Amino acid sequence: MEDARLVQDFLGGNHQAFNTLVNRWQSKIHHFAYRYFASSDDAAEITQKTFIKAYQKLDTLDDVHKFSSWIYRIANNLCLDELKRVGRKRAISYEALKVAPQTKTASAADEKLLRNEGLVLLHKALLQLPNEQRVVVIMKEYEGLTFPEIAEILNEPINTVKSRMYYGLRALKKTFDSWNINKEVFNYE
Amino acid sequence: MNKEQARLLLMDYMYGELDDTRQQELLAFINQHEDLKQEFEELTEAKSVLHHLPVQSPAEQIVIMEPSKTKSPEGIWQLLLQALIPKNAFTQTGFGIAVLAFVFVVTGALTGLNVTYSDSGVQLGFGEQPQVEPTFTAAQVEQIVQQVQRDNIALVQQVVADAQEQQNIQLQDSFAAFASYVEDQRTTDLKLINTGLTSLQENTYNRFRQNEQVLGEIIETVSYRN
Repeated sequence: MEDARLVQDFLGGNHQAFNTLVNRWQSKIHHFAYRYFASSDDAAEITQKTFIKAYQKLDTLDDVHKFSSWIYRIANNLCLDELKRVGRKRAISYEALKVAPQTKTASAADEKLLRNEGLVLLHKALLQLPNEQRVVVIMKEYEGLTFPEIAEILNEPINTVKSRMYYGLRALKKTFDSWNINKEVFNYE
Repeated sequence: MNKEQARLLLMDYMYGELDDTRQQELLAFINQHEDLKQEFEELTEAKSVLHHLPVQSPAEQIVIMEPSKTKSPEGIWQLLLQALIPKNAFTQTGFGIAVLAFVFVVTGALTGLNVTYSDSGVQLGFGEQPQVEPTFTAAQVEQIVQQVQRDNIALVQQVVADAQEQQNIQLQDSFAAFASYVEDQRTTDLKLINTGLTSLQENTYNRFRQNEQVLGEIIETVSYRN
């Protein structure tokens, strides 16, 4: 069943339809928030707030076919509110910077450690982007949204979104080079 | 196409959002510009690295509980109020004014509200309506006016008589005080004259005695010489 139909069902009084929407969208919103803050606690809190707000305000959604943009907009606004509330320091989460657990096995363990450290640095590099670039990179690279969809969510012109994506990728490339992060680091399985 | 446009199209191309025609144009343009080609390779590499970012799934499934459908009396009243109160702000304002007017009318009816208009303005009062005095005829008005005039004349006459009497009393008091003053002054003057005459009499008597004494001594001296 499509999201729009579930929204209509919920507005028609079918409470279970909303839980179906939650079940469908919880992981996406959680992933989005986790990549935004690099913190599972923050991600869980943002996800919970997002669905509570969606539950309270779903009757204000003008076009039920735009539910996906609408729920991402709520999540993004909550992330921005959280950043304003606790300051930018919180955005660099300790969880992303903590050292990966070390094992005493030989070279394979070293490679795994190297990969884990690479992942930590990767997350850290993402966190260093300006908010407006980071949210575009996350939505485009990880959520798979199209540029028009991102533009609608952020209420910005499409070319502005593309420009932020371009400069975000360039900044990341620069950071990766300075930290010696490349594809080879992650090839270990 | 310029480089800025090419960079924006490059984003579309990297994420598969560029149609074939534009894609061919873009690739041809990039092949002509080595710097753009280099940028494209770098951005592609950055994109491939980003792909490795791990993700963490939510630990618990969120479930929104359906609110209870049994309505408390307060809930029923709230629903009734929500049903009565309009949603639109303009309509809400009108509704509020209407409610206020209704409350005003009901309160006025219960408390005996009186609204009176006069030259000095509008007057609001509560309680029983004031008794309206019957109007007078012209003859009665004339009679009242004459009576008032008579009363006024009598009052003025009384006031004038009282004032004259008061003046007479004050005048008599003044004359009495002046007479007393003159009498006291005369008595004092007579006493002074009497004292002066007594003193003159004593002086004259003393002179006579001195003269007689001197004459006696002269006579005695002459007799002695003779």
